[in-house]
Amino acid sequence: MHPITRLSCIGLAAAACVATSLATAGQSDLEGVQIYKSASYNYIEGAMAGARFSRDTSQNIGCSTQAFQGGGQLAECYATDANGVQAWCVTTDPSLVAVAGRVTSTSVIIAQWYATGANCEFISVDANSKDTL
Amino acid sequence: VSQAQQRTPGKGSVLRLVLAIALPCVVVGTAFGYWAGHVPAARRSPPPGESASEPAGEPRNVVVVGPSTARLADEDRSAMRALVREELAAAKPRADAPRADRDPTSAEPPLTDAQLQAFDRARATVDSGIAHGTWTSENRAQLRMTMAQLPVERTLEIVRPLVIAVNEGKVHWEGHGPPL
Repeated sequence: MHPITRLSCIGLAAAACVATSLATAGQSDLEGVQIYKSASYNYIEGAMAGARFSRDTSQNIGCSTQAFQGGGQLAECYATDANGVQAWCVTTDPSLVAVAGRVTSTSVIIAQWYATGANCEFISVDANSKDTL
Repeated sequence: VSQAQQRTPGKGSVLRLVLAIALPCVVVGTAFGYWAGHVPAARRSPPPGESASEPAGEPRNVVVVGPSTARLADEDRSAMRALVREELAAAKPRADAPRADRDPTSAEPPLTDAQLQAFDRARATVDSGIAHGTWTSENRAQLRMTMAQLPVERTLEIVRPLVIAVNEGKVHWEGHGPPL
């Protein structure tokens, strides 16, 4: 093989290695939607981006806030996992409604509530580099 | 003897002294007896607390006047006030009482006729969804129209069975986005 050709091959291989390394350095580790149900409480967790880019079509998670003309506010957090299992809670608690309203496309959502009820007891909205694209 | 007669008063002097005392007493006593016998009792000094304006000669109802008003010492009065305050505070429902101890509907104003109709429509929509085992976007749209007319707590009351049914897997949400 001609020396120049050999050098070109080596250069191309090196470039490919560098490109691969750069591409994987910031790769996100998106988790799917998780739903846990027990006799005492229900729990949902998932990243908005993870649900959106999941390979299946059923996963989704989100929180929604609603305001009514009478002055009342309501929030709901809901999720469907890869198996099609659904979970959902609602709340009128102002502090929880405020937290639910902070959800963005890069958020990680966690909500928890008593299994025998419908009221969200806990809502967490988080964003971190690992769970966002 | 003459000196002893001068120191001892005579019988005439004693008699004059007795008369000087007895006569005014007889006169005053006679006058008082006449007044007491002829002036009506009502016109004499009325007892404390009673009016002397009642007509004389008419039968009067006997009124028993109680003892004078009891007066509390300052310490007793303060103790009484504190006791009343404690009783009132105990009878008043506490604002921070647990929700389970309070009737959730008692503090809210009663629903108007229009709100009652909206309440019934919303409940019928939810009941229909639960009965069919599915909650659709159309159900959600119907519910939203009635939710706007109701206090948010009433809305929560209506959707609670639906939420529980979804969590138990008895109802499936078939739409996209939030179920409400």
